[in-house]
Amino acid sequence: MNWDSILFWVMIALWVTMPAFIAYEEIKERRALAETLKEEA
Amino acid sequence: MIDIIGLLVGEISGTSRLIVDIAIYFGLFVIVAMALNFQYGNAGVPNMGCAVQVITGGFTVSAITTRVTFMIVKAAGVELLPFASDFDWVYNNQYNVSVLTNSFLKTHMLLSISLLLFSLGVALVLGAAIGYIISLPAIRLRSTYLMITLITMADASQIIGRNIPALCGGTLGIFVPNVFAWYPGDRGVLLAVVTLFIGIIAFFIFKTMLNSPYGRLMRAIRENDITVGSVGKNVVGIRRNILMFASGITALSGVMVAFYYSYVVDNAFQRADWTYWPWLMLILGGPGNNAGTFLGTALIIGLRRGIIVYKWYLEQYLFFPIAYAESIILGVLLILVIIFRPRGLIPEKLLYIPGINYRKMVKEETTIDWREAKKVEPKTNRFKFWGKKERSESE
Repeated sequence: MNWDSILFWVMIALWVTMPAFIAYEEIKERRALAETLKEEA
Repeated sequence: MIDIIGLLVGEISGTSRLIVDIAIYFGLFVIVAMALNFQYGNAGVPNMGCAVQVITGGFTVSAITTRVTFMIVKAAGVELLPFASDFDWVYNNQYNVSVLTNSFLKTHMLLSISLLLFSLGVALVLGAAIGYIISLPAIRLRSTYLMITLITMADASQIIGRNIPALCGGTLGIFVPNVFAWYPGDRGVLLAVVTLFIGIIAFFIFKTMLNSPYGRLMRAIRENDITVGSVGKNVVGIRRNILMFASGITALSGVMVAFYYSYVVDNAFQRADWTYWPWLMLILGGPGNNAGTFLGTALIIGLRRGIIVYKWYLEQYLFFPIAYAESIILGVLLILVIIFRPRGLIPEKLLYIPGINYRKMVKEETTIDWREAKKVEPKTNRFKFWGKKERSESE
């Protein structure tokens, strides 16, 4: 089995998933904050 | 692209090698940058001594893990060259590690993984201990003096490493056992996966801590430590805890650096690399939020590795020696960010916790006139005759 190519794609998946998850959380929190502000207004 | 497609048939070279290299450095630096964000971005502790904590991880591998490995390998019957005295430790090290120990570890996968976990565990504890030690003289100081003290400590740690051969072989350095020797393919890819995995775990730990009441306390200390102290919180103790915790996590990065280079020498942990570049990542991305830290780290690592790899190509377009390109370009970037985006590319947002309207709480106006305020009757407990109040009244 070619472990190098498997691990390479695992690495790419980690590398893509991690920032994507962080960006998703950040956008979710900013949107929730914006909604709170709108309700207040 | 051809290289990446070629990887499907199992070769790591050219562009795919660069990608692996960037992934490893991203993993290493994101741990340091996140720990720095935890300290400075959220608690206002300006740690200019990140290099101390990284070097602690490196020394853990060179001074402790290497010795432990030698002892295990010797006990298993491999005839190692003597390594007890400083002279033997340094001059027999290359043969002991590269020829004898690594070939033993090649056939002992579980031992290798145990050694990696052992190194990470010891580095975590020693990093926290070093964090405690460096906090002793520094933590009560104002931020400017704290920064200067920590910079001095970063230099001191390098000088200590250079002058005590038992730590990392003095100026010659020490080869460390290859704990990935059992892996049949390219160990760089495996190391990248492990490093990124540690980075993800560190991210979740920091995220959980920052969203907890302790995280809010940290932000309160950053905003106004005198107010926090006035309501009975131990500001110095909390700062010390933050420094200890972040130091432990940063030391993990040092362990992975040592295993990546397979070699530890004090010069590999320079202040510029392990303090100033993480600071640039933090300032560029925006302190106080993890998204900014990740973005800053990715940009700086991509830029640095790109400059290093394509130096030969850039040389014809530059009017100054190419050796200075990295420092000049990143320095100019820092100045531009500070001038045009002082809060970073992703500015810190207001802390959001579902169900709690912090914005409203912050904006709430307090228009209480004490003259019109109702007098609050103290609650008396008629069955509690031994209370403090009753006693003072009787007096």
